Amino acid sequence: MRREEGPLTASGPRLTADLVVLGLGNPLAGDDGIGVALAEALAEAGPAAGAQVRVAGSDPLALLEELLAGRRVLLLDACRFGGRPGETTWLRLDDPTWPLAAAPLSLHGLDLPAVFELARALRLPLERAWLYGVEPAEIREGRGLSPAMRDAWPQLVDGAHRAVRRLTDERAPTEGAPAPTAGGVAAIRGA
Amino acid sequence: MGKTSSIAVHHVTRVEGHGNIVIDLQDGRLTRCDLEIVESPRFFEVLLKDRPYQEAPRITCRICGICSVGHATASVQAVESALGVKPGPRTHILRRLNMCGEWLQSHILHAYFLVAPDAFGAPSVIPLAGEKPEVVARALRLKRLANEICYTVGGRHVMPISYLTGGMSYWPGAAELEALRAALEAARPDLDATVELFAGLTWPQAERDTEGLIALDDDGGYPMMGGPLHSSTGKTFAPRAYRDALHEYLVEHSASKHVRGQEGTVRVGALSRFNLAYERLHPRAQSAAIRLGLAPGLKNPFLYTAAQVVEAVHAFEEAVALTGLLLDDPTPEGRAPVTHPRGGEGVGICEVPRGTLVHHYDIGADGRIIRANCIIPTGQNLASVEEDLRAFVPGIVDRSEGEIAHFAEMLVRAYDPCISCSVHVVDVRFTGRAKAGETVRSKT
Repeated sequence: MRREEGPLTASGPRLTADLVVLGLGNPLAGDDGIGVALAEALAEAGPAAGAQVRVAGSDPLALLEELLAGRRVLLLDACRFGGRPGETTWLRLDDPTWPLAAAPLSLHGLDLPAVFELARALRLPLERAWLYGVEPAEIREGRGLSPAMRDAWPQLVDGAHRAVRRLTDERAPTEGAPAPTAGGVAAIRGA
Repeated sequence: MGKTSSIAVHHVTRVEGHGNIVIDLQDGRLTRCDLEIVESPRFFEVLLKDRPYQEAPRITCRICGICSVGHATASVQAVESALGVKPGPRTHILRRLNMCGEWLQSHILHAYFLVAPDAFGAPSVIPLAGEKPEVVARALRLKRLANEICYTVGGRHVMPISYLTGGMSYWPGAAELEALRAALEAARPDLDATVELFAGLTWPQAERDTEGLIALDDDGGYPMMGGPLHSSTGKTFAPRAYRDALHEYLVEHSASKHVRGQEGTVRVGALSRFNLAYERLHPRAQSAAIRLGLAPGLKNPFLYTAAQVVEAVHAFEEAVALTGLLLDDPTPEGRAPVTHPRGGEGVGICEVPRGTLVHHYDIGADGRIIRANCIIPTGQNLASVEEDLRAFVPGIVDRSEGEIAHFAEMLVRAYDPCISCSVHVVDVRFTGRAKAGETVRSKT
């Protein structure tokens, strides 16, 4: 029985999927919602076999939960890496130069660097997690993506699909991953 | 001469939202002890004005990412009360299962991520994870389980999308429920280990007597969904008479209103529920309470966390039982009809992890909300937190300022306040030169 109201926000086999795609961000904060928008687009289209797509919103702890459950994770998120708005980056998350958390942990303000630091402390296999990041144009109060995101939307959705296919089809994610249009860890650190 | 000192904790860490503790000591005497709530107002009651009643659960669940199921529940109950809708018994079971998921998630997060670092002498959960990875990993496993409960019922891990007036838009199938039951059964050792972990901790002593308040279910279950309000004074208040039990008032140093009961400060949340409804706890939760050294009559607010651990066990066991009931008949239950389409007033009350939550709507004949009032548990506890601080701090004035600040923070944190939820000024009027008796700022 399909939900009659509200968006379909997740699809694919739960609990058993090998790959979990997590859409992160806040749709009420402009382009910060790009990860959620992409996850919803993937869910509506139907994810690849073996993948579950989920809107995690502002709960990046979901990354740790899924790694603990032995699953691989693909994060979709807005990411400032010094590119032009709408450009993308593709990273495996076991890079030891990721920035660390700067502030005490708060459940209302948990950011990805804090989660990465926690993952390292727990010795979780971050080599099983990837980020498909999109350079945002506007992080502001209010719904809706910026014109730059809307212009790049077909390419962004296509890139997200390719990222999922790469991780589910060949299980060789470091080979032939969707080419980032810019960035990398060094760029993120410098942004 | 006693100590003269001014201690300011800006902001209290490991709580939801932003609050400051201000302590002034003059010659060893406490002259000021305030919990300042400095979050910006959020206007969420105004957001409901003129909106169709069908949108209320989906708007109000955005008030809080931790209590979103509770807000959706109180909201849909208020709408159903206003429109004369009586959902079927299995809808009640499904919604209650979702509440169990939220309680488990919230209590585990508070106990492990916000309180446990104090107990183990760690500044936050990150260094704690380095020293005791198995403890933090267990918390994350339990949080994931709680998320699965909420997803199964609400369609999302937080902020459910399946709540309709009179029913649910989605009914989990037998396969989903079987998978959930299996995941629950597999997690029982993590619950047992949680009880053992917190049974080994010692808590500061800070006993103070105050009125306890809960919304007690009529169905005989542990307080979770539905009124009336019960007080430790022995009084009972029908949902629509909630204002007789909860008197809101303004204080200068807080963007959140304070609340007092008929006889002074009130406490809501795990400690009050434990005291007033101990007999309704699942037997395994009662066993956990014994293991934790708890018995009804608790007056020490530091024991909120221990009571939350007991309630986590209860929520877990109730989720197992409710999943079984739903599996007995997984056929979707139809929506109950609206019997008062001309609108009216309705009050929804439920117990969210932090305490008693009230939603009160006035719905017009056109189906749009005319007025809304929400009373959040953190606001109900704020006066009690301050009174506890004022009773507790004089006993530790010989400690260093850092230690006084540390223990004061621990006490505030024990209540598990959600400050972001508690601030909801809905009408700010600046009249320039206020005349005597004129309101220059009002809150609902």
